[in-house]
Amino acid sequence: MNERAPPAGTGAVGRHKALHAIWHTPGGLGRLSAVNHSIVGMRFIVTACIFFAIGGLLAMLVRAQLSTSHSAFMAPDTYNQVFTMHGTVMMFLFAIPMIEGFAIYMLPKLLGARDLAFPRLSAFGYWCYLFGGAMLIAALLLGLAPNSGWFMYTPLSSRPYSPGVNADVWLLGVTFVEISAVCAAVEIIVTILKLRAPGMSLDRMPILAWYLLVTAFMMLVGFPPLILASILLEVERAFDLPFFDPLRGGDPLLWQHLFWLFGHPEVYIIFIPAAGMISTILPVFAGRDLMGYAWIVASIVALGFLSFGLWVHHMFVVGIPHLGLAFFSAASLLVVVPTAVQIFAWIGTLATGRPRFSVPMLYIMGFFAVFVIGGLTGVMVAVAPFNWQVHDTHFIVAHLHYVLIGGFVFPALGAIYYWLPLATGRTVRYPLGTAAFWLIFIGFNATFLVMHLTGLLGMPRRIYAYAPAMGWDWPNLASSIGSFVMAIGFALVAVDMILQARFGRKRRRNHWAAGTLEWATPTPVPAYNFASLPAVATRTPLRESPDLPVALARGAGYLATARHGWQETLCVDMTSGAVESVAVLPKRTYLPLYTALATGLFFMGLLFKAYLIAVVGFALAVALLLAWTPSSGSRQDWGRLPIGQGHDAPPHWQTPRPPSWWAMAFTLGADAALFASLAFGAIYLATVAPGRRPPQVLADGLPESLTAGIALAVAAMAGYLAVHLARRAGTSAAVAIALPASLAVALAAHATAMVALVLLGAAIPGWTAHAHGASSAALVGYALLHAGIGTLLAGFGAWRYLAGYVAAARTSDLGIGALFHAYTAVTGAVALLLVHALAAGGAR
Amino acid sequence: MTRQGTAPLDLVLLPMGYVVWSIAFVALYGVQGLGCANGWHEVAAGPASLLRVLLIAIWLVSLAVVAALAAWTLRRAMREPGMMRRAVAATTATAAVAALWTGAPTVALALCN
Repeated sequence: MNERAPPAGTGAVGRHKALHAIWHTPGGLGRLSAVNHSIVGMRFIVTACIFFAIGGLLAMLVRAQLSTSHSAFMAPDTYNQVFTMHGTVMMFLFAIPMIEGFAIYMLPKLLGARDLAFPRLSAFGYWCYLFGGAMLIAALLLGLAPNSGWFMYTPLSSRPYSPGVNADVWLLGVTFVEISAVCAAVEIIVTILKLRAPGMSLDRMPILAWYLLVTAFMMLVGFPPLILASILLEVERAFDLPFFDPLRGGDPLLWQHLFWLFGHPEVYIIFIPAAGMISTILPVFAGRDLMGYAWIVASIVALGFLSFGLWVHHMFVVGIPHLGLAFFSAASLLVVVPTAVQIFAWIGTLATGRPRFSVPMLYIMGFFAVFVIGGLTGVMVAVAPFNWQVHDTHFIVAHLHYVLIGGFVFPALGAIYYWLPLATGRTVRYPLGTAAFWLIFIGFNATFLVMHLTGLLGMPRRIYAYAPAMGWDWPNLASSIGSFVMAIGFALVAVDMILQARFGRKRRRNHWAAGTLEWATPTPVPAYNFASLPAVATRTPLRESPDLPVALARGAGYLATARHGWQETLCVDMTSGAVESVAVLPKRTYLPLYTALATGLFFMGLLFKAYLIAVVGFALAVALLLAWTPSSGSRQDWGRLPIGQGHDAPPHWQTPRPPSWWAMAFTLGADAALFASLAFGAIYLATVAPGRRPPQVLADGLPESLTAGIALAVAAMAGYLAVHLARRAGTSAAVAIALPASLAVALAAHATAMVALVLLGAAIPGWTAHAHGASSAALVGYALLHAGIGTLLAGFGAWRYLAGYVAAARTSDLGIGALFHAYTAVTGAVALLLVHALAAGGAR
Repeated sequence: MTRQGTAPLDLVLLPMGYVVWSIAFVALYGVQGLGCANGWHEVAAGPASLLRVLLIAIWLVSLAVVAALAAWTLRRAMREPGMMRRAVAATTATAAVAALWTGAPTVALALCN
């Protein structure tokens, strides 16, 4: 059935009722089925705030312990758990999820869309975050929390030195949480590139979208090395494969490389969105456009790349040759430049505008003072000789808090005060917010400015007690007092937020007279954001058209009329913003919750070494993921749908590259980063790591490798052939036979590859005897896992075809599968070549 | 309804200068590690060691590539103005400076100690 004309308009109120009926989430237990970005985003933010409070409480315990030289407040093992969990909670359970929540909540509103590209994925990510975080906090309450420091260096975190379950809690809990980060990264990238308002070309995007886009790409590449490192260490701990054991050819430094490949970009993953908040808020209060938009975009891209070239500056004391140090020292100094470009752009914007000061601006001014000091000490520690002097002292603790609290917490607090009226429809009570700011600012500097001196006096990190003769008592006491002042300030912010949400003065739209689209929504924001979608012609559409909100409510934009109960938004060309299709989004469902519970079962099975339960959890999670699919796509062609303003567009399933195709492409990008990290690890252990030669290497294995490689290549070709044939579906009897046949070939080829890879893995000698065997097994395991997923995807493609989802105009399901098959063939070939190259090298 | 003033090529070119920088940076660090592990710094290659010659070659080739890219994108930005083209030119030009700065230590510093 082709629908050519939408039902007649029903006025603003009728439109609201119709859209609300489609988009709203019911209360009570029905709330657990929420996939709406405003609800999920707010859940992320509130949960992150709760974890921030827990992390802050742990910090208070640390400061209580260190306030005097003779403190008997905590025993050493308890103290180890407390400081490890403070760092872990703040980095993994507060900062990153807060950014994810902020992006999930804000992006569709900023971009003029009704929701994110994959609402169920963000809901699934939230549950993974909540359950993973709960796992870590439960371990803390049971006294089983990780205790090896938040970066879990081996060999301290290896089984001989951490025999309990504590390190496993970190490795599995953090990996569980990181699923949400990778989900969020894909979600953010695809949403920014594909789900913008019509006419919003790249050069008209709000600057915050640029910041979040670069951040999401960094998450996509930065998190996989940590996920890989966690998997390898957990495999070493659970199954004795010696990746990091120097006595069996492993190397503890491999952990440091993989961890900091994630860890340093992580700092910028936290800072860049915060800088985006400043670039959005500051011009509003300066009363002019942001200065140097193009230069800021260039500097964000530069920052994104350069931040990956700094990882070794955390390893300056491990004995790396001077030239290696120089590379990373140079890159560490260089990264200051794009940061400074932004700071000067902000100063220029303020200097040439008419600044007005209120609470959000107060926090931005606080950011300037604190972050610049953190940046300057960053330049100091980028210089290797100085770094050697202060490494692992409290100087570093002070530096990193200036960077992270200055670079993230201050802007985030400003952002909360700025955007809270959007969420609550109420305005701030200034006196409390101002008092809270000064308590935080003074408390922060009292804590950490003094701590630089404590570090220069030689006090190391992570010690639970110190002798009075060291002379560290008074600076520690000053820091402890300051930290409690700061904590009172944060408590006051929480009180202010609650008071504001509950008792603030009611306000309607655009409280700050901003120009970006989020303020064109009604406040509080309805589930569908915009009654009709705007056409954008500038970066600040609301400034040029102050009546835009009313016009949109009246249905003057696109998709003003609800149809078929579909949740619709527009899908655009990545660069020009021209309309491509109507994205029909999935509705609320409990499936993300159930899938996260099954994933949790998998992780709990691993944690308690109950591997049968882990297998059941994994199978359940896969089955539930497959259960997401019947409601996606369509079994019939709809032609082109009217979208208003005299235009029409096809539904997204009738385009060859819908958002889900791009999601697969970017997910494979993250997968490629993980594979590159694995290949790096294997090569590093075989060449640079100072280990003894492997006692045994793979003797043959060529027939198995050739079979697997050829089978994967055949699967990839069959996948693309299926797409090619699907475009001609219904044209001839030959196509009707060849299309399912090609899908069957892809399925059979992947299954064949799996068998060959299992045989190859069995032929690799000494998995536990030497890192060589362990690395080779890991590479084969990677290829095997992908062949398994490929089998599943090939079967899925066949089912979609048989169920009627595939037709000449609807080929994207097969296109997504073909993309995966091609990736698997390429990485499989590289993995197999590497296994044989390592064997040849090990035999020499 | 929309305009076509921003080309897909701009989106591809925007990170390209730093992609080259990243490849060169990883190659420099990787070859340095491999060279030191395999004793290439003790193998003579003209007036310098084999390892130094290799590292300088990687540096110069990457510099040439990113500088050429920067020159082309700068000319393109002057010929066809626009925010995206300016951003592309600025990104590739700074990537060229970054390549010059981070690779320069290969010329003089001790290789393996």
